[in-house]
Amino acid sequence: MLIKPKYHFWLMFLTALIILQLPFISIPFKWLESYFHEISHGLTAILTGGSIVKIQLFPNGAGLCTTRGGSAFFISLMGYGGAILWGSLIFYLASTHRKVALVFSVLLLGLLASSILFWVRDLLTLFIVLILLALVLAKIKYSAHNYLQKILQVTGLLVLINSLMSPLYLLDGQARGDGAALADLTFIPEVIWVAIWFSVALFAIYRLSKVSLRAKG
Amino acid sequence: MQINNSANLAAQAPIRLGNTSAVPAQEQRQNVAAREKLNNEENKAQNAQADTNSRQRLDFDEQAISLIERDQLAQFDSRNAEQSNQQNGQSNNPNSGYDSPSSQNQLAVAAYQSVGAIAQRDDIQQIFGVDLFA
Repeated sequence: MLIKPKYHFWLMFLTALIILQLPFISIPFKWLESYFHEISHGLTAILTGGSIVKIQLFPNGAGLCTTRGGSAFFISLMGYGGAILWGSLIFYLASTHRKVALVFSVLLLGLLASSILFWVRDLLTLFIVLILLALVLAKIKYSAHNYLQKILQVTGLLVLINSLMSPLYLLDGQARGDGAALADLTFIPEVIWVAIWFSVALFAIYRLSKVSLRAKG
Repeated sequence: MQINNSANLAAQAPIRLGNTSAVPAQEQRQNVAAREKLNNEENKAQNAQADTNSRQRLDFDEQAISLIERDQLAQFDSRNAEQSNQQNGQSNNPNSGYDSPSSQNQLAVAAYQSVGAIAQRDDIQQIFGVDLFA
């Protein structure tokens, strides 16, 4: 059965949604989203004049980035924002060309490796980042280049869907996390920040569906 | 109740006067007038004494009321203090916990103050001067 190109994006989106519901298979993708979230905090700290002290990842998908200096506002904002950007970037670059997808995968490997070298300080985080490293390595090594594109696109969507849903966990009334930090800094309520992240992620999914169509065309 | 007035004295006077019939009438009249005068003074003195007694009783009552009120207030205060102690835990003064710094802050300040050297202080500031983002 041949599926029309305009439905390819939504088929991949549905595949990503199903993967996220699977008990064990979904776990590494949650770690991936968590890694992108924390590394975004860290990279923003570096870009705004600070530094990363360490990055911690936990098996339940939670994470912690310890930084020194930099702009607290942008560092807080770019946790969920950065994960949305990473998801969109993975999907977009994978949609453009096979070689671009390959180069991006290699860059991702480099980022994971440097994270282990410079910012991972505990065994649990080392274990999780090594699994993510192996996942990206396996994608490059064992996939034919055509499939690599599709797998990277689905990976990008997995990160994006996680980024869409993750801010909603902040609405637990406990005033913790990035939303509460931004609320403290700006006096704008946490719910507004959650709404902004959620809207940006929805908009990104919509834009990528258009990009996917254009790439097919 | 002892009521003395001039009519009673006037009624008793002829009886007494009757017993001393040898006394001349003018002298008797003078004696009666003197007794009336004396009785009037006694009455005045008794009335004054009654007034001061009643005033003393009123003063005593006011003091008693104020004493009772003070006792009641003291009991009320002690009950309130007991209740607030039960609510606030061990503290004797219910207001003592409001402005005291948290134990974490006290620990941080103590750690900071315990280090004399400026270089070591900078190290501690650097160690603690990190931000956590979840």
